Amino acid sequence: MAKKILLVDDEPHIIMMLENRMKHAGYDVITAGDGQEALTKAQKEKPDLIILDLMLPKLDGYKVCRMLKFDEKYKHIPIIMLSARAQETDKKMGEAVGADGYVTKPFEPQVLLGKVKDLLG
Amino acid sequence: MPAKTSENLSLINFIERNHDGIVIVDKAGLVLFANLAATKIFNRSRQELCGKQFEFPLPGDKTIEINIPGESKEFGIARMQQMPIEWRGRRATVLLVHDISDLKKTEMLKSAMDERRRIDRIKNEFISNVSHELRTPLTSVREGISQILEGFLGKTTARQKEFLSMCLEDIDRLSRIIDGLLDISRIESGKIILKKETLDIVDLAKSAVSSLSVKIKNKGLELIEDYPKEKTEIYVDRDRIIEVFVNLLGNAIKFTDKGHIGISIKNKPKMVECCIEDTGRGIAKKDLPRVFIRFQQFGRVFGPGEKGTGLGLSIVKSIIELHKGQIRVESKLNKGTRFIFTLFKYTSKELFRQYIVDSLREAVHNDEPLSIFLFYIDDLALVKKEFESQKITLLMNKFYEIVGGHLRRQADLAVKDDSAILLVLPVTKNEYIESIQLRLKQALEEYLTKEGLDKKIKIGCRTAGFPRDGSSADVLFDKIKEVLN
Repeated sequence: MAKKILLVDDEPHIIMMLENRMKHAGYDVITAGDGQEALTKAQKEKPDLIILDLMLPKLDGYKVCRMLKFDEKYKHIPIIMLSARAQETDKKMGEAVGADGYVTKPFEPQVLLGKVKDLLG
Repeated sequence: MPAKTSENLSLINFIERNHDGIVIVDKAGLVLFANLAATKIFNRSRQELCGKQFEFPLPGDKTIEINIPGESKEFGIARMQQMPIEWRGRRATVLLVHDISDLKKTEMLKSAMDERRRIDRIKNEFISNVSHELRTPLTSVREGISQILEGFLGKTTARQKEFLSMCLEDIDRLSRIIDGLLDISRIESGKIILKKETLDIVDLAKSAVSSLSVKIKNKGLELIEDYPKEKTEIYVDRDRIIEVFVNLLGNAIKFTDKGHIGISIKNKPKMVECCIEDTGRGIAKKDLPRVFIRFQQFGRVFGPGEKGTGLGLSIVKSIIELHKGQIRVESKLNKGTRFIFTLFKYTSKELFRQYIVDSLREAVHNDEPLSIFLFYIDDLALVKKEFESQKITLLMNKFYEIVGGHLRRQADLAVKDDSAILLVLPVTKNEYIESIQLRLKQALEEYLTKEGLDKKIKIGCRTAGFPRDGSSADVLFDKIKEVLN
């Protein structure tokens, strides 16, 4: 069965293109447009991996990540942070909240797909 | 005047020696009495004060703050209160004057520092927000073009593919320009605090070379390396200096199609000179003065390969200048280019001073204290007569080990020269200085006793603390420097 990826971004264009990219690569895709929706969908739909933007309405990506990673039931779900914030401190903060990978926008598709593949084993 | 009983005497003493100014004025505002502190606070002799009209406003029932001339102070503020009393049988007013100039000065300094920090934060947030806002739309543009190019949305002709590839290249270039601008504005806003350590510069050069060796090989260029045999230590920010080497080497590779790329380091008496040269296309004489200016690119419009951002050399120059070094360029059209930069080699005294300057800046920035210790061999001249220098070196190494064993936090640091060890403990409160000094000195002396050297070698120690002893690096350094060679 195809692995399920949850894409979280508040930019509809980015969601649309990423969804297309991931489907092409053979994954099932569900999406969320803000942090709250991301948390709900992650808990309800149990995706195999999450690609998470940082600057999100309602609940930012760091908080979403921390809440999932601190929850026994969901902490096994790998999370890739995908953010336009590229400073060293941003990456460190990503690590601090338990993200499994950090990719900066604009991203190279091979880099992102490589990370996804690695984390899905 | 009441009789001078012993009780009265001590009361008079108390009033006279009180640190607060005490002034008594009568109903008409004439000064009847002023104690020693009052004469200092108002910078007037007793004759100038007593029997004259009091020149300052009276507080009434409030506590007021007044500007005072003070003793040779450019700035003085005192807090003043009044109370009614009876003085020699008449109604009078006693004024209590408390000099708060130092307190005010500290407050002003602190609020100026808070303000600077606030501006820094706003600037930094602005820069990182701009960069975020620019990258976000660039992401969908890049991804959209990528997918069309990869054929996700149907077949494309060869000519379409060619154009889309060009778009992709330029999007990546734009993205690098955004990175570069972010870098430059952080350097220029002083946002970058160099994380300097004492390092062998050859290691940094080699690390840059190894990240580019594949590119050099792929272009069929020869690499010529020339490094000093001895350790060439220098006090720099590791990542930033590697960035300089990578940038200069990258340029050299980009503009050279045949011949060699050379990297050499010369260990000179007061400085280290690094040179990166190539046998590439060179820069025309008229363009040379503009190489370090941003967005100035010459003769590369139709060149193959990745296009530059026009920011690299400007960043390189900023980094070198942040290190108080210098950079220059020599070039001949179609013959080659040579970039030469020099970095200052500190004497141990200058290095110790620099360590204090840097740690203090960090401490002030973080609003934390700083405790500084200097352990040294006392009467070094005498010790040198008695022992071989090799023996002293060994001893210093052992001392360094002992002192180093007491480092607790990541930011704690110890540096040594041939006869002294500087220990800098950020965050450590000044009130612990004495006990730490005692403990460490004891540890060093125990070692001397164990080796049977305690009669011949004595350990000295100097300390300085921020804020205890002052808030400028010079003041702190002055407290320890006289024992340095």
